[in-house]
Amino acid sequence: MTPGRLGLHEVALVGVQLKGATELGSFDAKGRYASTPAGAAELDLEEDALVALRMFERAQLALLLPMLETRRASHGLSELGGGVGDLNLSLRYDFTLAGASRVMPGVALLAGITFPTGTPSDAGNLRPLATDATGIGAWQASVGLALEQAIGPWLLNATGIVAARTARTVTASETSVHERLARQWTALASVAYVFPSECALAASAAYAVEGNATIDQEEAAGSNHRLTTLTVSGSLPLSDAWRLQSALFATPPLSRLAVNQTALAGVLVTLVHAWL
Amino acid sequence: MALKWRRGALILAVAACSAAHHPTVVDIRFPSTEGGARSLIDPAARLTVVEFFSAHCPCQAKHDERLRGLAARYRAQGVAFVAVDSEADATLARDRREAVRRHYPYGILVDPTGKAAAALRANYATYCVLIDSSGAILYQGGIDSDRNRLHADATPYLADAIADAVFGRPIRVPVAKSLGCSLMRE
Repeated sequence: MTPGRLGLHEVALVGVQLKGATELGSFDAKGRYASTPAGAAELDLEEDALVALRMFERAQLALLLPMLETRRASHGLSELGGGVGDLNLSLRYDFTLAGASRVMPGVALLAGITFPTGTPSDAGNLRPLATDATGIGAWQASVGLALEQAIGPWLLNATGIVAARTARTVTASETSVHERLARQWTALASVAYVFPSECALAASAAYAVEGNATIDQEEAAGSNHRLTTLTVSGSLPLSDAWRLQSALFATPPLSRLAVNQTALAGVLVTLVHAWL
Repeated sequence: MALKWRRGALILAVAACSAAHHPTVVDIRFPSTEGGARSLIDPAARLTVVEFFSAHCPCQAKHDERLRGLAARYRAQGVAFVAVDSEADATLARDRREAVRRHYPYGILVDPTGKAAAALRANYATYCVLIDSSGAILYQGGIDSDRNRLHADATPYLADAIADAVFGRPIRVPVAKSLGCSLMRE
């Protein structure tokens, strides 16, 4: 999924996305939620550069280059770090378009590859609170299917994506560990209302599930992840070429909505210039 | 090349119709908001502009005034306009209301099965086809280069094509992009 999706008739776009999120708490391996303890805090900032290009009528290619900064405080330490994140290249092919048929929804194939251009959290030269970790350290390939339908001013979307990561060997203190992350499955559903001015409001829910990692050929029990994210977003066309998008997102701080994850709440602002 | 093929196909369709009486899109009569039923081409006109209409599309609404202006400007030169609602939910009652509300000086033909859109390869609202009295397609594409916000310096593709055809000049841009909403078909 990319915020740099080309709209109907658009042939190219460039954009910037700013993201800020704060940690509310975390979920343990049993999905129990605990608020961030006093004295601990995390603020995540991200600036993404977006480019998308229509290759032919039904296919579009998008590139996202993130810059990440983290401010983290824990046990009396406070630290700010960051750097280039993992570069993502994604392809979308629309077999059919939403709104073009009363019966057949828009059906699109999504595919993506994420390059390990960031610094993984197990890199050897990180700062004490690892605020300069900006990537997962592995190549990631994803494939998905998106269904969309327009019913009058309403737009419904259901998307499923599966992502696989390459295995990697991490060496620290002369000890090597071979790690393979499990496949990550993500389901997303959203509903949007488009006003005659082309302003739009949307609400969406995403649920991601990842199984246990494999460490040195053995499954590491309790290393699985789950994450629920709720988002409300809006799009404001400033002209036929410029549009502003914004979103508020959060993982609700309720037990069982996530496993082995931090609960974040944040805001996204995206400015896009598109060419028709 | 595509235009030549389409133009040839439509002319051939008309010719075949004359010889073997197979109905083609130019023969099909659609219910009109002006009453009765009529075909896409106005037999009394030198040129006919067929405009694919959507009752829901904001781009369509933004272009209503420009369409009314073109229809008024070229009426005296024998250019007829007709709108076609080829969306699956098209009804005569709704299109009558829309024609009145939008002050259209021409009728909307109701085509819920999408026959006209399929024949003229219309996928988007505001897609226009300029047809001469022999059935040859002279222009196909958008009204202009604007989508939802109108600019004084937009490229007026349809107006240019009509002017070229009226004054016997080659059509300077015979195919252009149409920027309207997807037409919802069955």
